[in-house]
Amino acid sequence: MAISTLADVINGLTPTIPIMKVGAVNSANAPAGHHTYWGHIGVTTSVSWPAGAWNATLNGVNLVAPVSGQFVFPDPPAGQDAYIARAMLGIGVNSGGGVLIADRIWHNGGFTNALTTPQAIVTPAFPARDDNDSSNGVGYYCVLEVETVVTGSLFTLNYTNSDGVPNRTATNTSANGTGRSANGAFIFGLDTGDKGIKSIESLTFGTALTTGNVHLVVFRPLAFLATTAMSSNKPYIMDAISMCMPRIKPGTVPFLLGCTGNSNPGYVGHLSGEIVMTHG
Amino acid sequence: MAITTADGVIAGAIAGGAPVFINKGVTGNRTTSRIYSTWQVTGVPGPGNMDTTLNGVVLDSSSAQVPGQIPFRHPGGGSKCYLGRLVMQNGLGGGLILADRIWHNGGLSPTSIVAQNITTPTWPARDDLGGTDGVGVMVGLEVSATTGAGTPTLNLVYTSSDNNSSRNGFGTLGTSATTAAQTFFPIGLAQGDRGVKSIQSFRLGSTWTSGTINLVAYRVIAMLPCGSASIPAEINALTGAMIELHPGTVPFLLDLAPGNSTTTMFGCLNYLHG
Repeated sequence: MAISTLADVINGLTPTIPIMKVGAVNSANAPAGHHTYWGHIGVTTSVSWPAGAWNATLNGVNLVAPVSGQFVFPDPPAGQDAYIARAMLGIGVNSGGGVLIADRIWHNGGFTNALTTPQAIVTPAFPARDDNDSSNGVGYYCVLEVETVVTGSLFTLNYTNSDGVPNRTATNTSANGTGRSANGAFIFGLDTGDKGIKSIESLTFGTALTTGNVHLVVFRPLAFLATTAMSSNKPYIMDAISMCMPRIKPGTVPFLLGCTGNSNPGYVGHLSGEIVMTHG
Repeated sequence: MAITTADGVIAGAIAGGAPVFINKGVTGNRTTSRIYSTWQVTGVPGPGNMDTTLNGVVLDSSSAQVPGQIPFRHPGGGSKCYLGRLVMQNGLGGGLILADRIWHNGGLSPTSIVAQNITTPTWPARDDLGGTDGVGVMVGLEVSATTGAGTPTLNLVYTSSDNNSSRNGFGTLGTSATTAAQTFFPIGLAQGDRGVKSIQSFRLGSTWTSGTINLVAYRVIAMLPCGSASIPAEINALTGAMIELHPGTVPFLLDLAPGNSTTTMFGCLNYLHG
């Protein structure tokens, strides 16, 4: 029976899922900016918490669970849906900010660092996990992830929007200095009036990258986890009502995107917390 | 059917669908302790457009989303939409105002110091009471291209939501020379008024020399107290007072950041349907 009451939420609760990612000290990190935890290992390198692997081809690959590096949500019984019913998160010393749980839809790699002309990409039809359970891409966004340190900070994406209109362009929303260390991230905006990304046609570097290795990732936000304060490790708790019951669709590949506001440049703190799902 | 119980919130959250993602990279060069509109800022959602006519245009998402707005979903069919959650971090701290952009105009002279006449259309039925009278509807001046020299006062002549005409409102924050694009100056209400039903004219007290300025009618949906830089703040169905969002709402954010450096806004909002 579908969940429609608080009693249903309680009846469907599942065991706790830990969130633990090891922080990193990277001197090239800006004082504040976006960050991906895809490349971070868990506190223990258990089966469910290895660092994620990237793809090395321009056209990339679609991602459908299970994928090594994702954190694992248990599947609901047949005919039921899965929702996040509770979440708690703290970020370690000298860090803070918000963390987005997102569904990793597609990722690629294989860019030529010296090129400042568009590097063509032919994406496959994305999995049907957008806001409308289709592959049109409503609610699909793009982030550039840094696998190894880069020097550039301006990137232009050419894409087709979720309404099927081609030749849309977007740049990253925050430059965060002249480069980023490993696991840094640059989230792209959308062109005027767009609601999401259906396919990607190219990426252009604003300047040649003298070092580094970067990847594009298409993602869909699932829920936003807040933290309480900088430098505190104090967790923030969210429940079914405050989180608005984020639904986790079959095949979802959950990962974390952070926007840290470090008081100590170069440090991305440890993540510690938990998620409780409910099925119904 | 309105949401009236905690169970209704649970069902409404599921019906309300996926969270709406917000990510804006706001550049610096702002005037400290002024309000800043994200309407024309690149990011997610993408930038919006401004109107260029004195009489302006009503903004409504009923048939199609307005470029620049935060995506809005209303269930229709007699059901209602409420703000279920707004969680954001603001790189500079301060506050964020989530507002419904009801109308905006353009074509105002930045150098004229006489009244510039305006005939506004009837507002859409999105005031605090779901009507067109303008209860809770405020007006602000939004700079869309950097101004020149001058520190003019701002004077709005309007009809109040109680239908009293020739009411005078004035800017609540002082202007400055070389005011950056996207700076937003709220205009106060005359004594006893609760909102703006229509606008008759706008006048600068002195020249602003150059630039592009626009008026915006808006309704405050919620304010988010981002007390510390980059630390998220959150309101939900309980703490956000279940504010109703009427059909056609055009949500956007006003930034009350205390500083003027480059920053990032990052977060989500959720709707409740029921």
